[in-house]
Amino acid sequence: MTSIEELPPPTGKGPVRSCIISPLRGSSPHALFFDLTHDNESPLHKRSAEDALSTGALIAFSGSAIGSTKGFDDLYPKLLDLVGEKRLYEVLGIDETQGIGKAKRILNHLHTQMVLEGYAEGYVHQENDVRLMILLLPR
Amino acid sequence: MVDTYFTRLPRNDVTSKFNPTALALANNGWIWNADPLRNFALLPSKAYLRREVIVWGDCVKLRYGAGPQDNPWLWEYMQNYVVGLARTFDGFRIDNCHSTPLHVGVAFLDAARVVNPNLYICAELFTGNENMDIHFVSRLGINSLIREAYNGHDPKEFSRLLYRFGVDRSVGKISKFCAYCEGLRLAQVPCMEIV
Repeated sequence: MTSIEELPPPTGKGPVRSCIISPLRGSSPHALFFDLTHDNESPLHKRSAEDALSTGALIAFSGSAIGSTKGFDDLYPKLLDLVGEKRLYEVLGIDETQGIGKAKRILNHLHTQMVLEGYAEGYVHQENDVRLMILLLPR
Repeated sequence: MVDTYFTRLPRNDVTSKFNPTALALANNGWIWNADPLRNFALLPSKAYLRREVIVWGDCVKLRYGAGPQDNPWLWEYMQNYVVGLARTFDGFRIDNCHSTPLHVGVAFLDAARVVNPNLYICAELFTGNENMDIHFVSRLGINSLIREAYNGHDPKEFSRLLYRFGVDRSVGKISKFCAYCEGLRLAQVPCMEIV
């Protein structure tokens, strides 16, 4: 960690100066964490349709940039071929109860509110097939 | 029976003045264990000859060479295109970033940032190792790397991804600042609580 070192005088003349060296550790690149991308299979195929909301919720509380797709929020059951697809999106309103979009919006707002109120630390607990993420207030 | 490796431009009034072999454009794709700093369409790579390339039929490789002097028209055309996009949008998502030659990406993103200094760059980057990822991130100035939750194939792996990308500060972590204070005896109060 930190160590006490001696700096030579800047002009070459004069006393050495004592200083504390604290090595900078690297950091990993910032993440844009998607719950589902356009390349991923739908939750229905990978796990189950119900899994979408829990995965989406965990990502909503992620301490990083987050991303998603309309198909994920609409619980669209298939992986679309983006190159060949010609159909247009069906546009849903904010209050629509189709899909998990409304729930995710509430979760995203909750996360924002918690962070603004000072909650900063996270914890992921995993037991068998269940994961839980907890945000706590630092003291 | 086999995937075609070339997109062949039709012979018409525009194309007939060129050498017919120039009308066959190599399709882009990917190869296993690629070194992202080397172009597998150029010697000494024999990836196309050996049919090692997993090809995408909807895009072709462009010959950027070592710099603008190797293909001035292409460099000017693509730089104008990128700069136009940078004026229009707030950010770019670089698809398959590891297959863009680094000197090409650096030149075009530098030009983009002249017209849009706050351009947000995210990238899909699969170089195969973290040090190479960091090399690309630092040379190109990538702001965020795209990570996918559904890559976690089981709960344990997904938890690992959440911790790695989604937990900025974990509960009960000793911060360096606290340890520094403790070392200089500036503060007698504990900086960390185990919950």
